[in-house]
Amino acid sequence: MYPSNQVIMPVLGMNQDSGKIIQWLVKEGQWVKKGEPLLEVETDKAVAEIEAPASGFLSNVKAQPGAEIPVGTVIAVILPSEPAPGSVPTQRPDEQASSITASPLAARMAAENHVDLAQVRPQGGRVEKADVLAYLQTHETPGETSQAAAGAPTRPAASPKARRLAAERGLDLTSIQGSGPEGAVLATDILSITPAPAGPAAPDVILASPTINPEPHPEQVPQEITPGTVWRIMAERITAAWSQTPHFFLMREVDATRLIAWRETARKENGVKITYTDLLVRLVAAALVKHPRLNAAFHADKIRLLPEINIGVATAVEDGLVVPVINKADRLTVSEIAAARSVLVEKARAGRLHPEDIAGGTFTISNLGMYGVDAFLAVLNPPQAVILAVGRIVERAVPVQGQVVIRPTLTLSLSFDHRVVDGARGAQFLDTLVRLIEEPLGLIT
Amino acid sequence: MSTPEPDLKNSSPVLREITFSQAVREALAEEMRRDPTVFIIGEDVAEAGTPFKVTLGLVEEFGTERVIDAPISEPGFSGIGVGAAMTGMRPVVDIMFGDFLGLIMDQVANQAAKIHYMSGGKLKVPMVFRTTLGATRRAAAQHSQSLQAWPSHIPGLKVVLPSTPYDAKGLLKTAIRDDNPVVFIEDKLMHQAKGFVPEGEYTQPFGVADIKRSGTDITLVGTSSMVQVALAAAEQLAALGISAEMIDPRTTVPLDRQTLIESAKKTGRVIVLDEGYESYGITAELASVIAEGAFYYLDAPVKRMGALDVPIPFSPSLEDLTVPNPTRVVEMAKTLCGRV
Repeated sequence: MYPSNQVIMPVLGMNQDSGKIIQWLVKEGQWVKKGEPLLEVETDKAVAEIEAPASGFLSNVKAQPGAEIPVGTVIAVILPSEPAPGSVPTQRPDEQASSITASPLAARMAAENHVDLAQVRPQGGRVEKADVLAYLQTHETPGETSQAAAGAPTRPAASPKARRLAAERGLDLTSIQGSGPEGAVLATDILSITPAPAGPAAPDVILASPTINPEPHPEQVPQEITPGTVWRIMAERITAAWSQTPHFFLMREVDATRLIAWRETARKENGVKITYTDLLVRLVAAALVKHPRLNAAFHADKIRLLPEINIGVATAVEDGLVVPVINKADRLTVSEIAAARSVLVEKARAGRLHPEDIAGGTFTISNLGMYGVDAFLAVLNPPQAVILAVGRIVERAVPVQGQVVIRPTLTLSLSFDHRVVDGARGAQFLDTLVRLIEEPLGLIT
Repeated sequence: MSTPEPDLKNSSPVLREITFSQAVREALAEEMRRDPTVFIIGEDVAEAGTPFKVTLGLVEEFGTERVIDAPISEPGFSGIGVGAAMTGMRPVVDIMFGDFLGLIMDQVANQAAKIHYMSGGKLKVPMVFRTTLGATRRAAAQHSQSLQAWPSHIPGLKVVLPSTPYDAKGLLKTAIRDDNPVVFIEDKLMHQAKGFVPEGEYTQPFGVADIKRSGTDITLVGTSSMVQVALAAAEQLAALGISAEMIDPRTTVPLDRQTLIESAKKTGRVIVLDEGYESYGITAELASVIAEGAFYYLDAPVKRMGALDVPIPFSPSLEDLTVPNPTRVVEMAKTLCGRV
C-alpha cells in the first residue's frame, strides 16, 4: 500500500492534537478523484474540508462521524481501481454485478457489514443470507474492530441519575459494575465508590430525618452549561493571554466626523455595505505600515517582526468568539476589505470557517460600538502584540477653540503586550491612527 | 401538610369526623346559602338525594326551584347548565356516573370549555359538573369507569379529584366559586368514608398537591381512589425498610408540577397511580411531567399503574383484578428499589 494513498487526520492549526470527523462526503467504496473534498473535520475553531490524497476507491474507513481522532492517524485508504490480489476489496458496483450473483437480502447484509461479496463463498449458485452470516461468523476484520473502538463504543446501561453522578465525580461508567436490571449502573453503585459531597451543591444527600427537606429550592441549584468547542477554546486562550501576557492600555477619544462622511461616500461610490470596522481595518493597516514595530509577536524571548499585515476582526458567534482574518489589509481597497469581511463573517456565523480563515492574524480589531458600548479594554489575542477596542460613535460635547460644540466621537482603546511595545511606541501608533481617522481622505482612495 | 390535619386558622378548633358525602353536601348547602345563583340539576337529586345520598335533604332547605330533578337526558340538562352559567347562574350539574361523560362530552368539551374563549372573554361559564369514578362496586362495564383523563385533555376545563372529605368540601366550594367550568369527580366508593372536617367556612386552592406522607426511597403519586391504595402500600413498604413518599395532586388541571418533580428528584424513583385506564391516561401525563422535570435525578424508569385496559368486568373476582391494589404497588416498588 502506498503511503500517499492513506487518508490521514491532518494537523490544521497550532496546538491541535486531534480532530473530530463531521461527515464523510464520499461513501465508502465510492470512486473519488484526487483533490476532491473527501470529508469534513472540525478542529480548533473551524470546520475544514479534507481533500482526497489520491484518485481511487475510498476504503477501510476507520472513523465515523463524531469520532475524535488524534492527528497523524490513518482514517481511511484510497485504493487504486485495480487492487492487488488479497488486498482490501473494492466495491465497485459494476464489477460485482458482472462476476457475483447474490440475493438482494444477502447483498444488503454484506453492504451493511462492509463485507465484500467476492470474498463470500456461496453454498449454492448465488450468495444467500446464510452465506453472509457464515462469513461474518468466521471473519471479524481488523477494520471493523478498530471502527468499533474509534467510532461508536457501546453505551453502558445506567440510570440518568447514575450518569449525572458519575459525570459530576469524573467517573467512567464503563468501569463500574452495575447492580441494576441488565447490569445497569444505578446511583447506589456510584455512591458506594464515592460518597456524595457535602454542601448545597449536592442535592442528592438524603438526610436521615424525614421532617427536614434536604432539597434546596430549585432556583438555588446551580445550572451548568457544557460549553461547545469554540467557547472552550476561547476560554482557554483568554485565560492564557490574560495570565501570561503583561498588558497595558492606551485610550483616546477621536472625532468621527470625517469617518462618517467617508463611510457615506464609500457606500455611494461602491454600492456595497461598508461598516466602520471595514474603514478601521484599512486605517489600522495604514498605521501599521508606518509603525512596523507593532506588527510583531513576542516569541522565545525575541520580538518577531511580521512581514504581512493581517487584520483579525473579532466576531461574536452563537457559541462564543472567533477572529477571522483579512490578509494583507494594507494592500486592499475599502470595498475589497468589505467584501472579504462580509464573506468571513457569514462563514463564521455558519460555523464554517476554514483554518486558513483564522490563521496568521497580526493585529485584532474588536468593535462593540453596535452594542452601545462607549469604551472598553480588550484582552490580547496572542501571539499578537496589539488589539484595538472600538466604542460607539455618538454625539458628545467637545470643546473647540474655547467653545463647546457637539461632535460625533468614538473612543479607541489599545491593549499592548508590554514585552513588544512600550508606552511611547504605543502612543505614537495611537497618534498616527487618530490622525488617520480624523483626516482619512488624504490617505485613502 | 398531610390531611387529616386541616388548616385551623379560620375554623373552629372543634374537629369532627363526617363522611365524604356529608362533606360534599355541606359544601353545596353552604354555597347555596351564600350565593342565590347556585343551583343543582340532575337525575334523582331532589327527594332521592342521588343514589349515593349526597344531596339528601337539600331540597327541603332550598326547594325544587334550586334542587331540580331532571329528566333522563344528560345532554339536555348539561346544556341547560351551560346556558344558565352563560346567563349569570352557577349551576352544579350532577352526572350520576362518570361513564355518562360520553353522553355530555359535546356540552363539556365543545361548549362549556370554549365559550369564554370564543366570545372573546365576553361570556363565562361558571359551572360544576359533579360526577363519579371507580370500579369494584359491581356496576359493570358501563358504570365503573374512571374517565378523568377525558376532561383533563381539554383546555378550558379544570379537573378536581378529591380524596378526603376535607378536600372534597374545600375544593367543591372553590369549584363553585370558580368562573370556569370545573369537572369535579368523586370516587363513588368513598362516599361513606369518614374523615376530619372542621366546622365552618374554608376553601382549598386548586393546583396544590398534598404530600400525604414523607419518604426518601420512592415516590408514590396517587389520585382519588388510588390515594388510599398508595398510602396502604407505603405502610407495607415501611415495614420492609423502604421509605415511600406519597403525593396526591388533588387537581389534574391545574397540576402542581413542582411538587411532583421535587419529590421525584429527592427519591429518584416514582410510581404513578390513577384508576383510569393505564394506556393514554392521567398516569402517562404525570409520568411524563416527572420524567422531563427530574430526568437527571431518576434512578429507575417512572412506572404507571392504572386500570387494566379492558371493559370493567361484572364478575367480582375479575373486576377486582382490574384495579391496582397495595400488594401490586409494593411489588413494583420493591422491584424499582432493587429489593426483589
